[in-house]
Amino acid sequence: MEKHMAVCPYCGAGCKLNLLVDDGMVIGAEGIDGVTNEGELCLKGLSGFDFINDTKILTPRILHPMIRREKGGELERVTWDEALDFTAQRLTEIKEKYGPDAIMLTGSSRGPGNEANFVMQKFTRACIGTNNIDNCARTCHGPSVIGLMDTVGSGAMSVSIPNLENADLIMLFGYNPSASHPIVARRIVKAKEKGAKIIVVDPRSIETARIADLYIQIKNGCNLAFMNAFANVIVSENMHDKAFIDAHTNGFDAWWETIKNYTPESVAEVCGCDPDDIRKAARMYATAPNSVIGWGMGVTQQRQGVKVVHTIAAIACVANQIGRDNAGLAPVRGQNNVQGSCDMGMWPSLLPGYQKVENPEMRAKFEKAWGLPAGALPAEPGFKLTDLPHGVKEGKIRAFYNFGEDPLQTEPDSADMKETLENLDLLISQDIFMTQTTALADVVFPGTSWGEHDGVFSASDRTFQRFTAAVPPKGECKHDWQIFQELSTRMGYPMHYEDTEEIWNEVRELCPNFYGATYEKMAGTGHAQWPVPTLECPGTPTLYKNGQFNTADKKAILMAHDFVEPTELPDDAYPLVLCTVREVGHYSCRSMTGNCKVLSMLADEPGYVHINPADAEARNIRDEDLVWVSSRRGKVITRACLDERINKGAVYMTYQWWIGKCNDLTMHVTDPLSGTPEDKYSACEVHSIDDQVWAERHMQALYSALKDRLAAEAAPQNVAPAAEASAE
Amino acid sequence: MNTFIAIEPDRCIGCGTCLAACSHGHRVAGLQAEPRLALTFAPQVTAAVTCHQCEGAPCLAVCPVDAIMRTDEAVVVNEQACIGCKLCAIVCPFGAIHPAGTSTAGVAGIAFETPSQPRGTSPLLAWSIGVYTCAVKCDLCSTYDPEGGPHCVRACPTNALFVRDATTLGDARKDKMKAAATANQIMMGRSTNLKEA
Repeated sequence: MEKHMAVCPYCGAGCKLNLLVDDGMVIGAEGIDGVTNEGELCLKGLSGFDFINDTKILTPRILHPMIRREKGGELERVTWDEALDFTAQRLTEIKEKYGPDAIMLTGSSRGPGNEANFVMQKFTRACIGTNNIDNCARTCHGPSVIGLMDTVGSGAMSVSIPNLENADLIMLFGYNPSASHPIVARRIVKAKEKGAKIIVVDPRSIETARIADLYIQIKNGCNLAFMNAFANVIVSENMHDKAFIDAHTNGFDAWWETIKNYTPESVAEVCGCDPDDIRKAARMYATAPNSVIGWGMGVTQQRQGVKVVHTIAAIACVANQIGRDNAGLAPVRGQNNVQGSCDMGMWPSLLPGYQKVENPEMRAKFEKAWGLPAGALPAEPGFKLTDLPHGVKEGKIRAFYNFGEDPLQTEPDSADMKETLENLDLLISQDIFMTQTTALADVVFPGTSWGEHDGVFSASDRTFQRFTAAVPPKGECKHDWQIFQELSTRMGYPMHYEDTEEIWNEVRELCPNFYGATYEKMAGTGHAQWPVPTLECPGTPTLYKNGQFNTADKKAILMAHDFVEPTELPDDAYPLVLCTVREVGHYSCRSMTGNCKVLSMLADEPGYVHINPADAEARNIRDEDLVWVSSRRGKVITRACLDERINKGAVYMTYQWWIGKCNDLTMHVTDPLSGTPEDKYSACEVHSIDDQVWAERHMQALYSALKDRLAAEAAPQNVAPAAEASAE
Repeated sequence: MNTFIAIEPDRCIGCGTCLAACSHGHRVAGLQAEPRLALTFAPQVTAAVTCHQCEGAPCLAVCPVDAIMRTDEAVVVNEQACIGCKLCAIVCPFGAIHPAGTSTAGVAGIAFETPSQPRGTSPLLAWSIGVYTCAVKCDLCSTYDPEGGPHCVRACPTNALFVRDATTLGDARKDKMKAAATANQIMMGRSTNLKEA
């Protein structure tokens, strides 16, 4: 049996593990002593390895390139040469006819790693000539990236995950680490055992609420009102650090003009909590020696996501709870390499290393390094991922290159997204599985899976770590960066990398903050936390030390905003709030974990809608019953879980299910500042089903039909192309 | 004495890593993949409910075919001998034993189950076409990995699970007695400057 070092591909914690390989098959995983996980793994890390072996539990892997010669035709397996020629020709035609900005691409924040993403954005900018490149952060922590860059200068956690356990106070706001990042939750349990105070503010009594010193159950959609009042208390009760504010921030007076109106009493009704609890929380936070605020999708997938991040950053600054090892901001990232996608410039306004496309000096540096004539790189920020639906409707976007994501599962309002993808002139999908999105593609490129390639991931706390291949590529799978460079070469901009280290060294040369993160430094369980500007620098676990913010004048910018209610409030027809959350044992669109034996056995379709027992009783719904959930966008079947830990008037569905698919119900309304969908708040109704046996069979029939359809879409790959067969 | 697995609920984060480790270990050993422990969520408590390997194990006492026996390590089920009568599940005071089977519908990913009853049906009554069930219960992983110890305990990322055997229980009892003595002293209004050893 062999052991191959890797980094878990499932969340932003960045856990190091060994993949155990026997006879070419991955048969197990064991935790190793990484900086974050210290040998521990959660169930996904421990049991989430066998999808690599193509188990076909949920959907088959893609092992050969396929194309659809005509829109709506059948997929056909072709040689790599033909697939690449076909794609290069189609992309070139679209570029010539409609301009480079008619092509949109999305990076992959999952298994491929930083190098593949870097090459993809280089292909986008240098070869196609557009900034239309984005990544799934748009749907998750985009508001954190934007909100933190606006205020403190860097769109990332300011503290490191290991240091969480030494904080004196941890406040979780719209973040459930036990489900999203069990290995981060472990640090919070340890912090508690070391004497830290814990505050949880959430509509759900999450696992951490049980060990919290103060739990405040708020109403859904009240974030900005709550945080404004929280800030109000800090200043009203004179707990702000005036010297720090004077020395290290700008805009306090204007900030206070807004915040002063938000007394705890004024928001009590909107927040549904006792004003004194807000006071208590603010006092605990401001007076503890070192406090950390952690937040997640509860903050970002809201109408005012960016504005709440602005306010959280301001709170940390006025209370001087930032810039120390155990005090700061902790927006913990969802996907394993979503920090990396942002690091690599998979962002319509940012080149790699957070260097703005609008800055001519930055463009000139990249043009020189990439052998481009001056002025060749586009200066205008490109489209966001959430611009895709209206971009296609308006005819502005003609081609979409989907890299390792499944927007049909993970983006809001699936019916609208399906229409969008079908109306494209060209949809390219480069993935490891036949997902619902890939099933619509005109070109299907088989990339290698995590476990079949090398690279570097960025963990949520800016930690670069290397992972390695455990088994050789299956079928005709090529490394993602090889596919991009071959396509780029065909389209007139040749690239010839030999391996990921060569790519990574180019990243280091172009991004001053990453320069010291060499492959050598990251060997084994080694790591490098950016900024790491020199070869000697061991990395920087904590940002903004001594109040030095990453803004032009090194001062934080305090920003305050007025509260606005969510877009779609419950009414008589749809009286419940629908909030989408995460499944602990599954990941993202579930194409990986759904193909793992243990994980698919522990949790399978149609998932659950969590409903308060009082709301269930009013609808004659019993625990484990199948039910309909409907909204103005659609109707899905799922299973009821009567849950005393959640608030009345709201229901919660995890977004991993393909049948019990909450994104058939959510709406495509986004925070205008970030383009992030309001997944945490829409209106719905839950209906009981009288004939439960019928419902069970109906659900199974839908599930089997979906699996059959995806298997049928992938089936042409088993037929070798005619040209190749005759040549042999 | 009987060795069993205990849980510290304040450490449990309800993630289910214990279930995954249990399932994987038993499945690889050719036993039922059904997890032997269950996560239970109450408003104030989250905990994995596990078999206590009772001294006077009622499951063992009622088994009509002697499919449950006591080994040096644990009370274990012989999956081949079990007839799926469910008596053991009925008498278990902890709900720590239940029937499970391997569905033939799941072979090679062509699962097409035909449910015959609502999911809410008690696991004691639930059945599915062509699936022979047998009792599953915690064997402390002793039937396939006696050296490695219980896989759930090893896997728990917050170290919430403990093996309780004669040594650890004795230590735990001493700790409790010390705590009680200290509390008693405080209750009596005495203070102490002694640092904890």
